[in-house]
Amino acid sequence: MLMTPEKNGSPFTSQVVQQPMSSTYTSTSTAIATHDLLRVFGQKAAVNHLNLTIQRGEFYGFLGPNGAGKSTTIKMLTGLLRPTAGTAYVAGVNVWQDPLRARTVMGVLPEHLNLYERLSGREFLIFAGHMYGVPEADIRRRTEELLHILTLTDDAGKLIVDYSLGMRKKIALAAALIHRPQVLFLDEPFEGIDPVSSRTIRDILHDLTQHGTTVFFSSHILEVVERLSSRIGIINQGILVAEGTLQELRERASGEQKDATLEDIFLSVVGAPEEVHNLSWLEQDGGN
Amino acid sequence: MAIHADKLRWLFWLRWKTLTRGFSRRPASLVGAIVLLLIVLGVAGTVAVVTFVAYRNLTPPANSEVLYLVLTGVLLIWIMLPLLEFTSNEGLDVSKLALFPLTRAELMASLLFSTLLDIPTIGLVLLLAAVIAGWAVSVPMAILAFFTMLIFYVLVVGVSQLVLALFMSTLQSRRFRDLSIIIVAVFASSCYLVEQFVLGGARFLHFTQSLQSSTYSPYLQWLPSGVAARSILMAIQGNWGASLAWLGLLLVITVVVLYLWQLVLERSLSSPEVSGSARVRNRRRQQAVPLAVSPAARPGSANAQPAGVSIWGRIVSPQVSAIALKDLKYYWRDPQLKARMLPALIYVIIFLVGPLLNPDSSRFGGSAFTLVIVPLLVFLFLATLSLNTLGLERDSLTTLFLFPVPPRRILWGKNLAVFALGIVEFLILIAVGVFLSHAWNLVLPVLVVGLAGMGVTLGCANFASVYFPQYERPTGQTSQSGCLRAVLALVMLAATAILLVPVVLALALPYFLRAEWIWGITIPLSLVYGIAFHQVVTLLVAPRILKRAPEILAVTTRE
Repeated sequence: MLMTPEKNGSPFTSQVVQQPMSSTYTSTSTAIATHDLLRVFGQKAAVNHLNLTIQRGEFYGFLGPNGAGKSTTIKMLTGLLRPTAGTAYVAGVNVWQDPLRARTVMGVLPEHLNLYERLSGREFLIFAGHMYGVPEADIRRRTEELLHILTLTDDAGKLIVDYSLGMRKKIALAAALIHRPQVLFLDEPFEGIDPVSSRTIRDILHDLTQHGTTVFFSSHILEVVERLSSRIGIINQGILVAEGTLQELRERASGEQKDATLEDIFLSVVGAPEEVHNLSWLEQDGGN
Repeated sequence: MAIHADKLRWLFWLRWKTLTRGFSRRPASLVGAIVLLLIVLGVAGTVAVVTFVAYRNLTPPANSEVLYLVLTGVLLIWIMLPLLEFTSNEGLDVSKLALFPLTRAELMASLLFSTLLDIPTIGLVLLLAAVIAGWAVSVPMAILAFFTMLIFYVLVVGVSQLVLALFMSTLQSRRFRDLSIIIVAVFASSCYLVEQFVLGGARFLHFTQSLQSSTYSPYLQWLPSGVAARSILMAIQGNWGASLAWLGLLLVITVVVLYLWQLVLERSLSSPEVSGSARVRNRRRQQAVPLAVSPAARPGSANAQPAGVSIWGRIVSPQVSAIALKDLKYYWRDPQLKARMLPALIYVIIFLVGPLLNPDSSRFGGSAFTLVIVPLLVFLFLATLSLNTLGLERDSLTTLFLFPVPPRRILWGKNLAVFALGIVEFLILIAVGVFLSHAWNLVLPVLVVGLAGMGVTLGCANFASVYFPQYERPTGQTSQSGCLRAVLALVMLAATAILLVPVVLALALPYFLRAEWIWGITIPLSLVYGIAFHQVVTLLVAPRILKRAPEILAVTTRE
């Protein structure tokens, strides 16, 4: 069920991606829109003419195997990597024409957390608040509340360099939230996070979408994507090969698998080999 | 304690691969390795030749004293080396090898062999070879010296690895790594002070007299290096029994060191893993965390303006202040930035202590030169900290570029932090300069030239930072583009000097023409010139940060 960019009529894609008109990008109801977004590294197209339209308040799960182009897409959407061609809009703002305005409306949790490690957690949040232009009084209040809700209050005075990976993710998420972004980009937000924190973050994100914030997140943890996402996009080798709600994806799955899990759909869409590899030597008795 | 040769061969292969792959992945590191090799060959080769000549030509007991000193020096350096330059080499990382069924003997043998691929080992081998050659006056002596040095080599490497294993957790700690960066920087940039305190002519004379009167050997003979030296010296005196006894003692000490190393190694491998960072804390309170999002994070919550804004807040944007404050904290907390400041601070120390060390020097005391040179020291300091201001953010620049901050404010904020440090240094140096030179009449022009020059220097630095950003290694090592930076620094200082000519003329001419009243016009104009230059250059180059953000990130970060 693989799909090339031209095959927009594939059963795995919803109709919404087929409206690449500029009015769609700047519409108040559209949070993220890309048109023919392309990024080429050498001879390889990491992202190949990607067309996305994501509505306000959507919880969009962006899936794909390693090297599929998820992080490259997020970097292009957040202004960190220049596209070879194509356009990207976030909350109606062209990311590459008006980068400063685009940054005011988005919060980003990047794949590599390049935080200011020699600041304490609290100092970093206050710094981020100032960078986003949040009023001083709000910065203080929001900082303490975010620290509390993410259970970082006790470690707020410690330098980030001494934080664990999970704590870094949480402080980076807090920094991405402090200015109440309209669109939140999260690259692997649940990787390295303990179950308690993961639950807390999920609840925060769910609440955000209820209040109109759009969450665009990539993850390898399919159960989380399945549980949280209102819509799912699957990218493989730079091409959006499937898109829709979980139900839509199930319905478009082969007839015998109406109760297919996201994992089944994902493996089917990315074309995982079905044959079972047996390591016969593992079954032999004795060592070596 | 079985050792399988095949495993040893593969462990050596692993060390070789990690070494060569390091060069192929980062070709610049090959240049660094070649430079290090040349330095080691040059320094160790020279020391080896000098000590060889000393062993052969100095009259006893001076040549014996040299032997004691050389072997003890080698031992101490090899104890210190891993502490100063501790980096986790994959080929030597026993914690990774612990996954495999390797005996301790195999691990230790592999580590011993692996050191043969370290560049400093070449220096060690040269020094030990000089000992063998220097004392090989006959075939039996050559054989004895060879075996003594062979055992001593194993001992030196064993002690070094024992220290490494003992302090593994400390060495991996962030605080130690921070400290080591600063220690190395201080060490590297304090040559002048070392020269003044250690290598003074009178002290060297005292040293040669000490060699003749056997001042050192009574103390050093009790160290393992002293035992090795004694073995050779006894043999050279014809007392072969005592010589072999000392050699036996050296062997016993070596075996004990290897045994202790094995014990520590085993303990460190079987002890619970220390993450080196955050302690895992069990907090029951987490269960009480409210699951709903706070109003702070909710879209639509109040966004009220703060009631009172200070005068500072009205003049300087909060974003500029926040960046400046962040940078000032970094200058205090980040060892790499601190190390970068140190050479400039060493100049200041030299400036301060120079007159005390050289009271007769014409450069100091009573000369106006002391005061006139102050702005140059400050420009150098400013250039050091601001020449690659975006690159100095390292990977965090990605985060900074995610914020909606106008680029001119980024540069202003970073300039403000550097200016704050520079002005403190400037005022202190002017006070000291005036105290030493008594040239009170030059204070005002120097102050104005300094302030205007700071504006020009920071303007030039902003231009260089935006148009020629460079990658800064996160470990405190020098950047890969050291030559480019040196050229840039020189060009920038030259440009600053040329751009300051009008200011210098505007202040110097009235002074020499005895028409100081003109300063009433030229001083404000000079200050305006410096500020205007900085602002114009900054406003011109800043938009490029926004336009070329991905390209700047590609150069300055390593994601």
